[in-house]
Amino acid sequence: MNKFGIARSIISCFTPPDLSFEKANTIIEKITRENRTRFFGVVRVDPRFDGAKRILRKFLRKKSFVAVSLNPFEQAFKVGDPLAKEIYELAEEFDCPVLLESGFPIVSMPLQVSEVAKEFRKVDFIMTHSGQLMASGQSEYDSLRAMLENGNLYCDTSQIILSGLGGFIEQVVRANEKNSRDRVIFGSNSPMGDVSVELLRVKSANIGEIERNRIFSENALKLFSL
Amino acid sequence: MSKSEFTGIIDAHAHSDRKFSWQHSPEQLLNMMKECGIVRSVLTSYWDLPSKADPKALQRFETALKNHDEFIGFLRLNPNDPVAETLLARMAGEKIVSGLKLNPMTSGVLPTSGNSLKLVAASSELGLPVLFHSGDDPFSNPLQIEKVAIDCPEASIIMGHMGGFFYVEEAIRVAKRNSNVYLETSVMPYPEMIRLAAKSIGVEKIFFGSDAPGVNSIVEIQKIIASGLSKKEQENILCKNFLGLISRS
Repeated sequence: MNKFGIARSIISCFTPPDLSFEKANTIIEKITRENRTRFFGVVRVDPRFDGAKRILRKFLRKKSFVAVSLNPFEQAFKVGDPLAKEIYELAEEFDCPVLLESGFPIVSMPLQVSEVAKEFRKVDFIMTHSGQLMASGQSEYDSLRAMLENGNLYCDTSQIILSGLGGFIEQVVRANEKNSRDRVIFGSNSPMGDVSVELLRVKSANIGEIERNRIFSENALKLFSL
Repeated sequence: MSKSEFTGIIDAHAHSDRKFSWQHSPEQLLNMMKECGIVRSVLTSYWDLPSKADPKALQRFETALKNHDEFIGFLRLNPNDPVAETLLARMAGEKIVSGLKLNPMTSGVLPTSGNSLKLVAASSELGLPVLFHSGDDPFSNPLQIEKVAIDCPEASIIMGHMGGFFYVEEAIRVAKRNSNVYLETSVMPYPEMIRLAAKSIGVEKIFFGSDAPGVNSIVEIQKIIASGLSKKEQENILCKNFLGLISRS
């Protein structure tokens, strides 16, 4: 972060080897407490397991957690699954955004995320990778549609391939449907994503500096109430 | 757009064409190349050619190649098109194109289908390498493309996007098992996998590609720089390896 001028990071745990998200989130809490101005936690749960809601309530009460995270691919459920919806209801109760690992076939493609965003209008959802994990770029159309139809849907820029001429970032910003230019946030997916590469995706996008600053900073500051 | 620290870069995968929201002129591609230190690019279309949906696409492709020496033409074909082989032979004979591009997903043709193998064999006889779209999409799995490499051992098969997001390990294994398979780096998002690929198959079998201009070339170049490979190895991937294949073909 220091090397690349990143002031703050939203962090979450990996799927822990012992599958105890309570322990894993406790570690995240410790890290955020020790680095209050730099790290902000995301509570990650597996909605299939008993106790998911209890874990969520426990950590969302703490100031160092600013969002909920679900990974439908790793935990093998669809974003529209009834168990996931119980988590969204809780997120609504806590007025907390939900980060959805998106773009994975079967479980979290852009239009599936869009459906969820439509059903839970009072919850802000973040579609990681802008829902585009296909080398062909074919899912760009669905991601764009999802972003322009849902004022409560955000996308992060990690691993978006089409950031060149007429690319996705440019289209979302220029369309500015339902304030879509305010709903793009910078993400690196570090450590899987390389920060230098991910920064360059946004730095080299064909947008103005004001929009670029929004993506790098302002949009996330507002979304996560930092 | 920032310049990269390398000059003389050769891009093994780029486009100019008009298809839906992808409206990319040769001049736009050339500008992006110039800003990044890319001196030559493979040029391929977004449509399989000739295209019934866009009858002018073939003419645009030929004109771009004739007008700009910076481009190395790779003719994108649908193996099921009855004119595919004839068109390839003509354009190769007139030295307009130096390779064949196949996108099994958009063609709707399995890479291992009879017509696909026939076209790859024809391409090989003409001395042209074949660039396959590979990765996360139907019909494009590296393990499917491997069968082509096995059935056409004389063909040089370039795995575009080196397996995409989800099938990079598969692409690396296929390239390791088959001496006639090469990996092209565009779009695959993990710089570390480029280093792992180099360790597994040798850096000489890896080609820099950008998929520009829809994808930003400078981002794709940065992946090579961030890969952890030595400067010499980066330079080989960016500037030398692909031209080596073309000149051997």
